[in-house]
Amino acid sequence: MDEKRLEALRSTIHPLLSILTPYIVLMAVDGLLRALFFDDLVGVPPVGYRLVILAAGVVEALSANALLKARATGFGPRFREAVLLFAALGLVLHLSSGTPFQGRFDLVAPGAVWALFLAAVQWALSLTMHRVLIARELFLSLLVGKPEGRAMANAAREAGGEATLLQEGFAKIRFGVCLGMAVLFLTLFIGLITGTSSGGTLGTGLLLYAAAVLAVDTGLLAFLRHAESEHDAYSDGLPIPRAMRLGRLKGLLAILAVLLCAAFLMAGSHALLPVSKLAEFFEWLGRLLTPPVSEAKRPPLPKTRESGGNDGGMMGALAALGQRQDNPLLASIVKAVGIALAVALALAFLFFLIRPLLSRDTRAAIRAARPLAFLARKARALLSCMRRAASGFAGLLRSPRTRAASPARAAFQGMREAAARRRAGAQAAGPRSRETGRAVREFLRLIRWGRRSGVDFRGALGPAAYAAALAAAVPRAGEGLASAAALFEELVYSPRGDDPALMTALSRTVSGIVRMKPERKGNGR
Amino acid sequence: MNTVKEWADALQASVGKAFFGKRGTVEKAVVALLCRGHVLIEDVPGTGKTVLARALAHGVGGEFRQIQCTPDLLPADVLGVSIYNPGTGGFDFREGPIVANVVLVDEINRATPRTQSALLEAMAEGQVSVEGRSIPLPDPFFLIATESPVESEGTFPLPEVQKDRFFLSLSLGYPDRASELDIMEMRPPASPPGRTDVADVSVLRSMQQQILGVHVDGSLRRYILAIVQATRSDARLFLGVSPRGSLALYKGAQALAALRGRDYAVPEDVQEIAPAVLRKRIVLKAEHSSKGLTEDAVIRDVLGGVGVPPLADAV
Repeated sequence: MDEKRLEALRSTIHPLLSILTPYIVLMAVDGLLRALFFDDLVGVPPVGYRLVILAAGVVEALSANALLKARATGFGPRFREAVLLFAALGLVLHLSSGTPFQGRFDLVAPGAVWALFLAAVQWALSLTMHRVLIARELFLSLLVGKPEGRAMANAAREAGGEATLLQEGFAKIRFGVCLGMAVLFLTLFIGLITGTSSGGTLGTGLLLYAAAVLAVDTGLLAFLRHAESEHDAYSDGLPIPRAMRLGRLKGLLAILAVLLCAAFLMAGSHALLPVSKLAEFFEWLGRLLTPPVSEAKRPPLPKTRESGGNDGGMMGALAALGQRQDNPLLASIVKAVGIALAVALALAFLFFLIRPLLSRDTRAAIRAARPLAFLARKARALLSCMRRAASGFAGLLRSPRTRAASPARAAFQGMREAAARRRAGAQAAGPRSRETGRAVREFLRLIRWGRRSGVDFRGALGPAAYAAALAAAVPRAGEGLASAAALFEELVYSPRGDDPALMTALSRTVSGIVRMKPERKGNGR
Repeated sequence: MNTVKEWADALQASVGKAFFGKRGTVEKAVVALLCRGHVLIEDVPGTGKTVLARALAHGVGGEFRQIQCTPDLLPADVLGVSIYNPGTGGFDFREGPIVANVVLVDEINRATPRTQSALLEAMAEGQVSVEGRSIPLPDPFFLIATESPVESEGTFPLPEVQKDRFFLSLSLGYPDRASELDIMEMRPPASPPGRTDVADVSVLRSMQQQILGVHVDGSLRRYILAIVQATRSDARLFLGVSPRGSLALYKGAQALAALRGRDYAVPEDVQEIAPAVLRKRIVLKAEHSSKGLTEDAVIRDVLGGVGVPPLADAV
């Protein structure tokens, strides 16, 4: 198990599974129910409600990973997420379902409520499934970096608690999938038996949805089976080879491809994305842009209450209570307390919602982001860009002759500076390198002479040490050898390496030595 | 650079009056002194570790103090402690024996790790921190520590980090026949040498400045680096030489060259000082040390395997 694969599971595969599986099942159920039973009841669905339901799953997956990263667990963050999410989704659905810009604002339009209900189910199912898959990530993270064999088996054994939780979670998912499939096919069965259809989309639509649901369920169940076999293999210390994993994936993709082909074939001449849907969208857009109906033409609203009080709900009840008491002061106090309570509750709820934004972590994150510095950087970049642009424009305005001469002059200047640098470098290093090279050549003459005397040179010997070894073998050259080694070292290692007198002395000394007849091996014994 | 040579010869002659033989060992101790380093002397009992340390200390001049380490020695006994003064009603800081020019820490491995670590800052930074304030140590500050490797009971081996703080470590070994005869004939036996003061501390400071001017050729610097890197890649070693070790080798070669009367270092200087500088800076793997391999043997192999520039490249 490597970190890269775990990251892929954490960031992509598990979130996609937890979003798409419930989504496709819900879409299938929604399509069937609409086609068979209550399309007339819930009315025209809001435009883009499918995207809204998908967004509920996506938000859950994103926030689950973010909360896990921030180590935020418990009911509070999830509740906060749900409140904010459904408020936003409700707003989007409402804006896209009715004609709020024309003065009609119906919070409980059946189509919007049904879509919101489906979004809630999507969110809850995604949450449940993602929790199980996060448990799997935790289990696998305990095996990351463990080498194959005993270490991996031991790690899997130590993660036994997590593995048990995971198995229970898998059983729940399996149960949910079976239940979803049962509901789907029961609906389909009833539809086929009764032959009822409210929109005339029963044929192609049902078959397409059923094929898609089958594909997802088959994929999910296959994924669970693969995950279980992988965990078993880990407990034996054997990771499943990558080729085998890819083989399973290919099999899954093949099943999906076959099912999609079947769906296309069954769809026949019907388009998978009907043009009628686009027409509906443009019609909705047209309704949205139609001028509002005037007040005189609007039908009168039904009278619901004789009292005619404008304060609804709690305010009305409090007002009624005040009237029954026949005491204006008490009524005012009760009303004020009611308002204060309502405001306090609203403020508390608002505080609960925005509390994470006031936390120390958030403040630290904002400080770390340094928004002012970021803006300053961007401003500087913009100014620099503008300056370059102005300079470029000025260059364009220059005469052609000047434009041609400027780069050439710059290139010439660069070449001249490079040549000067080369000359300076040669002056600094040249003589010394030359002298060192000459000194080394002189000493090599000595080494060749030493070889003939039976004393070979080893690279790890210093010049003086070699000269001493050679002097031991050729005592009559001892004095000259010591002198030659000292001269050589002074030429090579001292700051006076370019002294010609030293070089001459070394040449003379070495020449004097090498003119001697080399000692034969064993002569000195 | 004859000044350094003359000064060192005089100092060695002074030390030689109390410590017979082992001229090379004394020379290396002087190298450490010139490099502002500290010396760890390690050998079996009775080989003259303490005598050498005391002789060096007296030869150098300056203020000398001795710390005899025992397991119950506390850091405050070394660094100093605040004592209540009834006259003033306040606390007066009484500095410990570490605040001196030359400090002899005898049998350092008998002190507890806590006390040993109290010496770390003094050796590395030239200052001590006591009761929230930093007290600079006198300049020059030279610490000579002795330890016996054969007695393990009641001792606390020096941690690697502290061994790295010592500029070089010396091992005396048994004296040769003639020196041992001189030791027996010496009258009165083993008396502490008188202070010779061949160099006062200001002269020593001047000498320390002078050796910084010794030229080390670029090829020689690369040679030092090659030696150090060879220890880091040696399969027999658990730990190679640190950058502090390569710096010590560089400075040691400079000082040795100055002692020989040269103003430039040569490869033989590096090779000669390398065992003393690197010995305590490498750690053998257990499987090799259990087979009797020593640090000196590894260093010998390393030096034998690294070519001396520029001849090694040319041959």
